[in-house]
Amino acid sequence: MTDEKLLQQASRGDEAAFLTLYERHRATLFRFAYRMLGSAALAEEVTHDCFLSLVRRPSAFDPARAALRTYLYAAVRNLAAKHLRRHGGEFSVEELEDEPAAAEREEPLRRLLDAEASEEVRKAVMALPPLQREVVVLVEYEELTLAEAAAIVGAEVGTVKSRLHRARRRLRRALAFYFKSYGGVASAEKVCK
Amino acid sequence: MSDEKRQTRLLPFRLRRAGVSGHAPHDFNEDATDDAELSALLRAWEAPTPAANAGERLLADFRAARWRAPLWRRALAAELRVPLPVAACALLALLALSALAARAWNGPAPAEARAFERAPAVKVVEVPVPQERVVTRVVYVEKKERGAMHAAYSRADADESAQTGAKEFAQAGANKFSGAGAGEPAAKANWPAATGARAPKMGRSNAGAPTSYFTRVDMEDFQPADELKIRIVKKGRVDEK
Repeated sequence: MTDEKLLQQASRGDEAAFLTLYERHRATLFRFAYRMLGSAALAEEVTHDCFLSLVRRPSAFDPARAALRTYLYAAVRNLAAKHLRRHGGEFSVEELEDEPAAAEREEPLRRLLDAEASEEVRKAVMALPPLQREVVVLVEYEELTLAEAAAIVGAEVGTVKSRLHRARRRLRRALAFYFKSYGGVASAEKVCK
Repeated sequence: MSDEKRQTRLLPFRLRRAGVSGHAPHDFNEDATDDAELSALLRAWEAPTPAANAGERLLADFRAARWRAPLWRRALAAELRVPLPVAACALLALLALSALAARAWNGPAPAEARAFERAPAVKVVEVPVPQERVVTRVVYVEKKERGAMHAAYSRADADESAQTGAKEFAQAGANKFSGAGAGEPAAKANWPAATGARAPKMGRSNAGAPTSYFTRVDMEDFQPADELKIRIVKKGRVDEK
């Protein structure tokens, strides 16, 4: 069943349709919100508000303009931007410690290195300006096309491409130690082996 | 504009890429390799899974959003957030309107109320209305200007009286010639008594005329105009004076 039909049924009070819709999109929306905000609690709140607003105002979604997934991404983006404006993009250290760890590996050193790399990457991504950050998250993590990302952020494809290019350049600088060309990651892998 | 971008724009186009990176322009394959490496490195930051109870909480809110309380309950629980200056202005306007409405509801305008208080109390007085009608009629009769109408009016009577008088006069003359011993003046003097007719109180005789007549005017109730007492009766009819 398509998202549009599920939304119609959910707007009429069908809980099963609403749950199906939620299960279909919750993970991606949560990941996007998490990478935009850097906090699991805030990401859950934003995802929750996004689905509730969808049910309360189903007429706000126009199937002729975009797919429901694009609409939901845009809604999460707006809510995340509202949070960032309200809180200034600052998050407490305690939240970072409560975050779940990366996927567990067998080797302790490898796990340690992955955790360190994850933390460095998180810092580098969160240090990006919000407009560049959202493009990186949408294209690199959610694997959306440039056109989809442009539709979500409400900009031209060329603008998105430009933002992505600048964001990558910043990330390359910030994470230079981990690139093989600089020997960072390569040496770490050699140590692990 | 950042310094990096500004410096890049100052360079010739073919040197821009080299100027940014600080070394000779490299091919696009190197960028693609860097992007692939970067993408692989970015995967190191994994997102956590959402909480398990997030779905239940959302479902509860979904049910609450679907269930709509009755209108009266929503009206009782409704909230309205208004800025303080706006609320103060609205409150003042409401008080002014209430005062005006109360004054308008309590009674007439103050000027009308005072005029109403100054007005004397209404007393019901029965006014006796006389039922009798007194009508005073004044009849003026002038001797000199006895008009033709009056003459015509009295000529008929005079003719009748003259015929009666002549008949009696002839009878008196016959009596004289028959030895009664009375002349014409005597007959004239005795005429009223002889005829037995009522003599007028005021009259004149036309001695020159062969047949004299008397004006029948009753002046018994005559009053001069300056001695009239005009009695005005109030509450009479409209056409009465």
